[in-house]
Amino acid sequence: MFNFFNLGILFLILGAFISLFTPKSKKLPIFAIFSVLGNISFAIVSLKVLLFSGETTFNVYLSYPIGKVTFVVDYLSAFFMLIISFVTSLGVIYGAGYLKKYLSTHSVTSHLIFINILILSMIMVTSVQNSLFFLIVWELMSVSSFFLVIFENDKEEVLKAGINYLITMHIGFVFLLIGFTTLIIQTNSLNFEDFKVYLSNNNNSLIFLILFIGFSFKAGLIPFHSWLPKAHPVAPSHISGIMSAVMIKTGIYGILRIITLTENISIYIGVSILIVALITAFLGVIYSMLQSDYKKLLAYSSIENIGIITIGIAIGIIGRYYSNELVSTLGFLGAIFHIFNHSIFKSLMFFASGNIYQQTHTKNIEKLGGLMKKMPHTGIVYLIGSLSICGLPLFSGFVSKFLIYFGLLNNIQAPFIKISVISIITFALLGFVGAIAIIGFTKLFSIIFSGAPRTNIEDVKESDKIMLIPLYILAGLSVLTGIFPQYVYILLHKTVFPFFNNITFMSEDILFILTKLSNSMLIFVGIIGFVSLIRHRLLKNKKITKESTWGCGYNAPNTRMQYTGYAYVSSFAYLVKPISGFFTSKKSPKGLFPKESNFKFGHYDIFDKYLNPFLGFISYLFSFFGFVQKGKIQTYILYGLIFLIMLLTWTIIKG
Amino acid sequence: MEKIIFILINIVIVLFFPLFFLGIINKTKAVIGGRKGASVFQPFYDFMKLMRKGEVISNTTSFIFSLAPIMILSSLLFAYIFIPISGNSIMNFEGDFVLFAYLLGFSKFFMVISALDTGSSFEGMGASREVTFTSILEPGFFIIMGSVAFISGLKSFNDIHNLLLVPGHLILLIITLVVIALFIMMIVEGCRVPADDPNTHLELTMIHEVMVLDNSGPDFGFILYSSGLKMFLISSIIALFITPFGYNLYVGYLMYIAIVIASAIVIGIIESIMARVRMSHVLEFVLIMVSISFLILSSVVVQFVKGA
Repeated sequence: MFNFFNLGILFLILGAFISLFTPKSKKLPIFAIFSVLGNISFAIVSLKVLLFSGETTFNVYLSYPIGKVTFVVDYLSAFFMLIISFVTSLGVIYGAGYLKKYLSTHSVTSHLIFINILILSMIMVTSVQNSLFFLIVWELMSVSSFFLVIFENDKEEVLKAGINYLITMHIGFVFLLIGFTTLIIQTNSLNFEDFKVYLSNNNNSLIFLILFIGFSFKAGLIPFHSWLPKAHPVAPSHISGIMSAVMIKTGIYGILRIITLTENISIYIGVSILIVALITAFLGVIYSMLQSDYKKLLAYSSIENIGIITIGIAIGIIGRYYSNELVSTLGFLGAIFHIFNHSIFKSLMFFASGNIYQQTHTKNIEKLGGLMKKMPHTGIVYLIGSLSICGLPLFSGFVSKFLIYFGLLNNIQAPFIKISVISIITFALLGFVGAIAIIGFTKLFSIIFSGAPRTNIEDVKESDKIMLIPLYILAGLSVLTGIFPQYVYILLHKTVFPFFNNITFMSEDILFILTKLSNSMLIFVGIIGFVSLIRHRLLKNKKITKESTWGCGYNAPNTRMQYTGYAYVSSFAYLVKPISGFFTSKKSPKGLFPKESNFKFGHYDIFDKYLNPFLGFISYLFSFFGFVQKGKIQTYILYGLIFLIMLLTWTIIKG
Repeated sequence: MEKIIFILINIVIVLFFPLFFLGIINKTKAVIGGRKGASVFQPFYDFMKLMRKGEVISNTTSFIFSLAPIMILSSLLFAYIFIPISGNSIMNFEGDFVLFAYLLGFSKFFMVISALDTGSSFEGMGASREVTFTSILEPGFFIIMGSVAFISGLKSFNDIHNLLLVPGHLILLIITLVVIALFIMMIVEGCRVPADDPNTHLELTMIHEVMVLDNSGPDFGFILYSSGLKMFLISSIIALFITPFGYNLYVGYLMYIAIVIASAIVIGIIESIMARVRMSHVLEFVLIMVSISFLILSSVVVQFVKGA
């Protein structure tokens, strides 16, 4: 039975096997070719669904208890398959360049195999319709990404963050298990289709919330986010790019999937999701602004963007509740569009950060500076990525944020005044989040690339071509999406179909506005061209003198006198002190012969701070059960035996 | 044909007014201070002088430094095409004021990275202050537009005149509050007294001026023009809220221009009678705008409940 779905699976498995037997020098390119081919097959499947045929179904027969597994690629699955296959193939190409330096020191082969397992499990998570198999591949995804995160497992911080990630994922998994088991018992079926019938005809709030929390752990919604800023910085850059750009989106996929399965979600749930999303976006952007580790900054920015996506989803739910289709469509579409954009610019930023890390060997932005002269290509794509993340016009981030704003704007005249006021406040907070993102990303870009170098960067040079080409593709796509959003809209708009029962869809209205937006962007490009032409003409044949920066009359400035990243954000951080966890501590010099003196300032994640005592209490509680775990295999076999005997007795008693 | 004339008039206005705006402010200050003062066209002479000069560029900088003035100027010029003067803008679509707010953000982004590109400690300081103060304005602006949207169904700048059709006396209060809030926004974004003093002589106390210490020649001219343009844009929005529409197109133009000039004069008067506030109190001044926006939101809710 030939189809591209199976072909993709075959390529990925083949690639993993072949990389076991190839010599080191050819391992990476051969692996990359197979991975990309597999991803292309998946992309073909999803493009076919999105552009032409609609739903496609594939069946795989497995042994008891799973039985027939149905993969249904509907519009929603196809969209997620598309971004997964696109971003991971660029990630694999980039990784082939990035991993070259580790070939001699680390076990690259197992890493490569886990990459393919991750891709495969992500593709299956987004397309499978069988809940038991869904849980299996979900688990496979968490475990394989855990092994990818701990690639540099000789470092203590890496292992610590990795284990934190693994445990957090399993707490989330417990929620999913409870939710799905309840559904399986109630419907006596494993299939999502049957869940839909049950969820739509019964009181569904509790199950919905449990599943929502379970998926939030993966998506990184606050307060379930604490793994994200720990795991992303320690993972190798191509992995953090893939994880941040697409893997955490599988959590969003789960949320979207249960929304399609649940038809009458109450408005209270919609509003609570909106509040959680606002908190996520707001705190995410504030913490992101404060970081000095550039990968941590990006990780917190992912949390912010997940918050923005969830705001869109919440607007969709609220609009669907009182059947305002325009609001609902704009909400869901804004979320989908933002997922698309975020997957592009966030992978771009993480890959580019990988270039910086490989050249400078530091993740601390306060030690960098002036890299633009050494790494111009990385600098340009970094600038484009930063502009996109801030959601500024001409770049992709603006389009999706605009759709969400526009949904909110239409929601302001809602039938209930409470919803109207909430919409206005959301409108304002979204603007505030955008403004703070500008602070964070001007800091990130400028401290790394502008000014004078803060430490010695003599031997820094531009990265290899293989590590730049994927970046240019992503950057180009960011700009093109920003200027021509209507074509992306045509590709994506069917993704919102599964959310509605019967669609009287006003695609024309939204298309019209996006076309106008696109036209105005072309005018913008024209104005920029015109102004730069004028500047060029004015400076023709004029003397351009190079001088040192104005130092206010001081003649011997050194590079440490530049503004640092922390100093740059501190005036804002001081304003939001209660929630930013910003602190300063000072030990002033004393006496005639002053000895020790220091000044320290930093910040902490308030959720970590307040959750830690609680978690400490739990681990104290569990320490009483430590005697169960002896570390001897014999004991464990005994436990198994005892369990079997109990099971046997129970069966006999029950008759 | 009418459309072309309309666009031409708009272009003339946008080329002429930003610098004229600065000229009026300076003239007002001079008159109140008992001086004769420079001509209102002095900013034009300054601008032309800068355009004829070469440039001195810091050797710490990269291409960002030269790119930024272009981007700042173009984004603000682009923002202008959404402002309806005398009833119609050159271009409009639903939600264009979101784009407007983000274009101000766009210009700020480039202003800041160009300032940080020089590696100067003073410019970093100015950048830090500017982003901190102006980021507080953003939610205020969106609350105002959201409240107006709630009460009058506004979707783009072109719909602002619908506000005058809303029945009830409270609407006058709402408009007054909106005008005050936007005026504060204009002062903060334009970096005028009491938030910032463009004529200050000490780098440590500057906000906007310190960010452009290293710019010279045409680049500095662009930035000078842009800061006039930014104030002009916000004063145009103020004019939108208080111009009664429905007049003849040209009468509309005259009223609009009168309001813009009046706001420049008011800025001049404020600069003459007030000193700038201390740096640590600038934030309080900015927060007045946000508080007023919340007042607007509450009066909108009151208006709705009373009306229903």
